[in-house]
Amino acid sequence: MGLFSKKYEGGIAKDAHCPVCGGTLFYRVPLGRADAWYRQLEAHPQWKRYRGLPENAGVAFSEPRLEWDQPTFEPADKFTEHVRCGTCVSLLPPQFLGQSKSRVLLITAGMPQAGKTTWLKCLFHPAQKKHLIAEPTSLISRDPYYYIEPYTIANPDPRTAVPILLHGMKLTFQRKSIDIAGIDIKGEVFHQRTTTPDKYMRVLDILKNLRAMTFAELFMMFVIPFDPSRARQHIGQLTAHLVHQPGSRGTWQGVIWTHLDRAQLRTEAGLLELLQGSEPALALAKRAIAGEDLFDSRFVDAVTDLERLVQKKSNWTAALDLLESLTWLLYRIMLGYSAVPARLRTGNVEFYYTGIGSLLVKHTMNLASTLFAAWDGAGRGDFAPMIRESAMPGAESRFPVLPCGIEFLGGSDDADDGLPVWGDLLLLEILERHG
Amino acid sequence: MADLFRKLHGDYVENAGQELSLREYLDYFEPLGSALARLPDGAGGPFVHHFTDSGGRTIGALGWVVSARSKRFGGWTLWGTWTDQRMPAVALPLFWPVLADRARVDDWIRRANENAALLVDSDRWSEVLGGMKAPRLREEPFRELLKAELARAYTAPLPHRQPLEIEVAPHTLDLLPWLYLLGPVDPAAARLLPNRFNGPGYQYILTEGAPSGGDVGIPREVDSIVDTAAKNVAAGFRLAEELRARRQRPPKAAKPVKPARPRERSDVRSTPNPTPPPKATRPPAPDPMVLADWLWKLAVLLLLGWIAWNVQLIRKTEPAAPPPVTTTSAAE
Repeated sequence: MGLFSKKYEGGIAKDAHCPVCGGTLFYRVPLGRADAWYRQLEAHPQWKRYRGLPENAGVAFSEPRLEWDQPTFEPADKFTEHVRCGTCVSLLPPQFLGQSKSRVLLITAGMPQAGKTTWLKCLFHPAQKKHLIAEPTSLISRDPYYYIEPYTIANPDPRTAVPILLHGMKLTFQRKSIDIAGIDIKGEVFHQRTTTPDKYMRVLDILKNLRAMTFAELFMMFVIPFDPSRARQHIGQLTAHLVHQPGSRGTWQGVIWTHLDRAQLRTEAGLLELLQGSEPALALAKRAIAGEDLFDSRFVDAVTDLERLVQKKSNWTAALDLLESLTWLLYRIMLGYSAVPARLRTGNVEFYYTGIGSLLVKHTMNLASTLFAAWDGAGRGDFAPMIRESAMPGAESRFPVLPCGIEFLGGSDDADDGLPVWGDLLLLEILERHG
Repeated sequence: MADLFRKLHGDYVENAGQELSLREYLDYFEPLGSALARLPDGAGGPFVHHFTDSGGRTIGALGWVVSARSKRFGGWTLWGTWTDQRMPAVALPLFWPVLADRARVDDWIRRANENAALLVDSDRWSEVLGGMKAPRLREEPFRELLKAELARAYTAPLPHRQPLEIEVAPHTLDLLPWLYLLGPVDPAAARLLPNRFNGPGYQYILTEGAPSGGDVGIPREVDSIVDTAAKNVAAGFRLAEELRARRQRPPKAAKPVKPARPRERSDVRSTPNPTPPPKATRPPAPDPMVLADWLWKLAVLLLLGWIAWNVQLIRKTEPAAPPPVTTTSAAE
């Protein structure tokens, strides 16, 4: 390469690091058939090694012919938008390489079937906007990087041995754009940590590598399914060091509370009895049971009282039916919210930014946090230290719980056919902090 | 003595993920069911798998894998056997009739262990195959279908570094053991899997439609292999082995051109023929681009020299700088 032929290629910040290996050298690659990717992978064993995979194990693909396009491994002759790390040859979405000031790192971790992939799909590709709070509009747009190696957004992963997936999305809010660089840690890593310890160790290495990375904010989110039986193992029960990694006090750790649609109204009488102490809360519950409109001028008072009553009550272990009924009420509120903007003949985003919408969402989130803490206390208290810390005087924010659920279409129980309810709430959190 | 063939089973366990009885090798089996992800629950087919781990241990596996989509998209269920070596080539056709029946796994694994010595000795495979009944091969339409698939497979050029794709419908899965046994890839080295892999073997793709056979010209050898196998599987297998060996042989070198009759060596003592002095060859004409490049460099050098000479002249003619003048102002 001659002196004058060196061109500024842009898009890669000087302090960019590979999240997988910590590497700082990168190269650009062209697109090729996924089949070519699969063949070339043999010549780059470090890709599997840095994922804790055996070098001669295959990578799962749900499309048997491998005919879609995928950024390959060989260096490109000319400029492309696809960049690989020079050390571990991981494909890095551009959101990992941009300026740190406008970059948010989002890590999601959860056990298998916690609803993580469904939630991520909702974040990237909201197919239906009925129950979304920030549907794609001219105000907010999401532009995801198409490739989530070794898959694509259009060709989502089947069950896979690959422990981590890197994804990226550019979020544009009015004139400001935010890069969301995401690391999706597969649930199987945690479940199989004793049988495939290499993968687990690699994931811990990645969390260490994040210390070397600079970003505007880190969102470490644990995806926890709502489980009234409390029999399901969840990520909070696994390991304390995940909760405390990467160790920065600025780390924003919270919970994406999924499967709320499964909550049932177990004890109507018990619910009404608990709410006797608050007339607005009682009225809210009665309207929810009757299937009427939930929002009136006393909604905030009602939810505030609900929170207070839940916090006041102790020994939830003996009143799980009541707790589930309250969770059912929470989900009714979430569903009801989506009908309000339409009634006011405005878009979801516009409604949120009028102030009323954000107020309703904020109070609903507070109720979700309170209920999550109650469930946590009724179980093993896995998140108790985090909840306590956030409740301390002077704490920046409450323990954040982003509630979500899914509404299925036409009797289907396939997550692909569902309408995510509040699955995009995290976008609003990000926009509120950086917008 | 421990059994050579051991039971293998795997399933998708709700809220836990994919599990396998050969726990430490789950990563090698994980992709098995991925290609079945879009198929309905219970749809699937056979697998003949082998791999060598990082410690050098080779594992061979044979069995049946089906989609467990109702439990989880991409989830799978499998049953079969595994052993500490590659699976004998005859095992797939031998256990084919019972392979899909999950309830009979223990039975055929027991039989495999009872006849382990016979199965692992390739010299005795003709014994195994000789006694094998192949009712489907006696069906004319099935044979034609098999011939078409084999003909297509044999057109794939050597070497077989990537799997050959075979499209099969659930009702034509019976083609697979014969394709595996009689096809162009040595069955001792071949894998037969529903998913993509790197290496020799067959990747079958399950589709609803029947495979499109018939429009392929059937080579005489393939015709003969299938018809012979229908009468005697061992004889058909031998023919297939011969064909594979013939294809592996390097092509015959072109007939060498008859060299010119060598000249008689001249005796050093005899008067040497005066060899004519080599013709003075003209040096090749210089490339005009190279010439232009040299001229350009020369011009640049001359220009630089001229500039340096002028700078020198200017320096010489420049008057010496006057001493600095300092001024002081009286305080007001």
